[in-house]
Amino acid sequence: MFEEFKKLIKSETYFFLITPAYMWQIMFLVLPIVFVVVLSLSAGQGAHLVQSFTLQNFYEVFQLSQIRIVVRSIVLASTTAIASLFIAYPVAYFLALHIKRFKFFFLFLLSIPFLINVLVQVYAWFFILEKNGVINHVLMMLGLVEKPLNFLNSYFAIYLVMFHVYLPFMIMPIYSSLEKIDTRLIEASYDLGASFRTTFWNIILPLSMPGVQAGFFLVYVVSFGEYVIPSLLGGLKHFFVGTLISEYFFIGNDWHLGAAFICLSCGILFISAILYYVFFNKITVRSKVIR
Amino acid sequence: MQLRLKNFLLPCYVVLFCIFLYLPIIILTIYSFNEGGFPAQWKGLSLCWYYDLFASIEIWRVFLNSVFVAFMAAFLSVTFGLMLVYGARKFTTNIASFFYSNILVPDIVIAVGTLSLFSYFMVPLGLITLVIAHTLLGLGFTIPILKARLDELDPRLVEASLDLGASAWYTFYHIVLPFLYPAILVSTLLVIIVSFDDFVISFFCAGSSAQTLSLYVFTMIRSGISPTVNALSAIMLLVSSIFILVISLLQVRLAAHDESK
Amino acid sequence: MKSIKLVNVTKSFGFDLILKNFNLEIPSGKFFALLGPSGCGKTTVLRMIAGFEEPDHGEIYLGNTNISHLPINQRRVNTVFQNYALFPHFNVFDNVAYSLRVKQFSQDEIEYRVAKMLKMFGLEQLKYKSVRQISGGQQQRVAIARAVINEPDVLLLDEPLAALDMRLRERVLVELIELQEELGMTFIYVTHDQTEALTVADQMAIMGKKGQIEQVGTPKEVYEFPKSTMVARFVGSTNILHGNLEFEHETLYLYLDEKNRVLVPMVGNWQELLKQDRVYLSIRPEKVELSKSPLIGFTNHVVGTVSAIIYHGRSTQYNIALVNGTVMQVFEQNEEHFPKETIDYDDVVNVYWQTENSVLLKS
Repeated sequence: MFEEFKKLIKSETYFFLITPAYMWQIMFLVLPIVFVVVLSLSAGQGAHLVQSFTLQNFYEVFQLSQIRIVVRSIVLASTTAIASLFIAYPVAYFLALHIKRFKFFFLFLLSIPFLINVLVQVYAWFFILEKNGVINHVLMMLGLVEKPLNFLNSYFAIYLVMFHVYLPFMIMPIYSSLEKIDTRLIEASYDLGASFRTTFWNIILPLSMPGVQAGFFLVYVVSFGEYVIPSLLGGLKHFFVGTLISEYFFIGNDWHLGAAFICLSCGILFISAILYYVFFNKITVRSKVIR
Repeated sequence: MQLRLKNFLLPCYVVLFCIFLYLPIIILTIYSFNEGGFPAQWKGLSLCWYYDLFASIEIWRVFLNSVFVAFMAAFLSVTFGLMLVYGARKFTTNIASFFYSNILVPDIVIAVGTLSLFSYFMVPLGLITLVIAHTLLGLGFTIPILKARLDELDPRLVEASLDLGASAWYTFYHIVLPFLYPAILVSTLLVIIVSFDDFVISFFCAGSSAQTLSLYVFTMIRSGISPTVNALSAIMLLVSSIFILVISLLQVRLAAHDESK
Repeated sequence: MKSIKLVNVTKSFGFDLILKNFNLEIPSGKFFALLGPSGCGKTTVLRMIAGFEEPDHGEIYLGNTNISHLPINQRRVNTVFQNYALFPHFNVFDNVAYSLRVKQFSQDEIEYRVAKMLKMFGLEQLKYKSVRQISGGQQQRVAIARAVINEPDVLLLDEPLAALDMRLRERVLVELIELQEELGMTFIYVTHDQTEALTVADQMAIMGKKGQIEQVGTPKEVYEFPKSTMVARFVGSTNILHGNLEFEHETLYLYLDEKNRVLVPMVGNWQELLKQDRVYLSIRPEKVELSKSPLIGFTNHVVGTVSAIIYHGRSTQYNIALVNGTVMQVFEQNEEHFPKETIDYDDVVNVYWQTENSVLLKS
């Protein structure tokens, strides 16, 4: 009997160790999300925020103007993800497979932009793109323009800065999976007579796909909900999902609509992510050798 | 290595890439030393903006708030993460994967959800609610890092320790913890950085009373370019770099240790 | 010093049944070897004695105490791991002193005992060296010292020579034998290498692929008188002839086929084996003599052709194809005291052995 009791205590220890993190997760991640869904399906005011069940919110949110914004965010996220994928891949490749000695230094160099405050980055771009900013100053000095151009508050600025901020996110996952490739596989490919191109398309790229996928989805999902960059660089002219949500919650003060909008955009995001996933799988399953 | 154009292409590309990545920051840092207010006029080197920065009581207050939140969040997420990872080490199913969603779910969804939840239950918004939300974020970082490191621990070492008569706690304290030490350090630093950098969650969940560094910078940016913010950004840059340097060094040491086995 | 007894132990991992009603007695104070092929469960047996696993059914006794479900750290049993499991962040001194520190001995006592142990293993020079910087052989000695300093009743060794190179292995085997004699501790040595087992063991047990005990005995008993073809084949190499057993004219014959027969010793349970359709005969290769010219004095004689000659340095192995197709291995020592006839490929040779050097086996 004593033995069984001791066994119970032992499992109690495990229970005690695991609980706090799980509790935290459930209370502060799962519950809020559930609450958002509940909000989207209800109506009410003030203290009785969740008073009645209704689908009205979804009707109101499922309009062309809102959907257009979601689509705009999807386009932004996709462009950011795809563009940074193509730009970052060669860099990750170079770092993983060409640098032998200064790896540490380069990794360090590439980690810094990753962990700098987004605000600082945006502010830096402000500096450059503003009416009195560096670019305009240089352009005027060179006599190319007479009046300062307005770069801020434009799609151009948003896309540019998104791109700049999310590039490092893409490098790390691709780098890790490239690093893990057994160099002997590449050597074997050359040994068997393949050219660099063939080796790259058939050996290196497929083996790095896990990292490519990880990076792509990370950037895609996170940039979809981006608030800071569109807000500061797009102003009130161009709305994206992030800024619109903030609008609902802080300015419009209609939390139910906001919640419904979140559900809508997350739903569309999820579907698009699945489509991308299927696409990725399609292109990685090949049996023929690409020349 | 032959000196052909082909061989130069990739390195050149990488260099251009690095320049693009760093350009804004470098310009910002340079101009933080500019005497003149506006970037267009280069008046000369000066530390005056830095003096202003350090003299501003408001900035210190905001800074200390951020420090409080960051350290609390780091402490909580590392502790809870450690407990989870160690407690679940013998489980065959991967418990930790549940926590990967912390990083994947967009900030804004977490922010809004937490805001609505707290408001509904009439929990006053402030630094504490921020700590709670940041701890959640932190768990998403600490758990994968700690788990990865713990997985590298040879289970025979734990068995050997028990075999030699040590209790479970003695084993944990003397054998497991020293092994996890670099990972604990890395995750602590990482959570601190993430907490300092966080804007979206602070924006939604801090309420009107609590101001953190990110929020402060945000309001300053909204009102146009301010040279003090330049100096602040430069300093934040420096501190982040130092943190990352430490993290990178730790990771190198981790890798070196494993190789020599 | 205590003995170990496993009584009706059953152990499964998930759906894999490793041991079923397993019984084994290991005498106290002896160097005991547990030998078997990979995957037979010998490591599981060791781990259950140490406490890293617990039996699903059955009991394990240390002396007279039932330790089946006693926690690892309360058993007076210590393990030397295959990969040594030295604590990498401790130096040699700290590793060896670990169990003493756990028991909270005084610093002086610890210093004294560790010094004594280091001296015993020739490790004094390495006292404060990090365990990562010492050689494999030295690491192993630290692992053993760390376990032995605890003065356990039983020392378990899990394939200790696996990570060492050939030269070192032989030396370490001898050192282990000396150590066991000096300490008088019960040693349980698990291995899949039969040479190691034969060298060190006072007593050994052979386990088969399905987790059953094939035979227990001294090395000589196991080698000279194997109880099954599995043991005969696993411990050393052997020739297995098979056929039908017949008792004619007060003599026991094994008919390899209709025409060829050999004499078989009438020992053991030969009468029962008469009833079996098929019976096996084991003859060790070194117990067989080859000669082109006829020899007298041997009780058994067959004829065959040389199909292979393999030079082993100390000995030469000849593969002889018998008339009925069986191939026999013969080891001839290359002592070359006096000129001998040369045996070449495809030569027809006479194969001789003494009946009493062969062993009749049931399976």
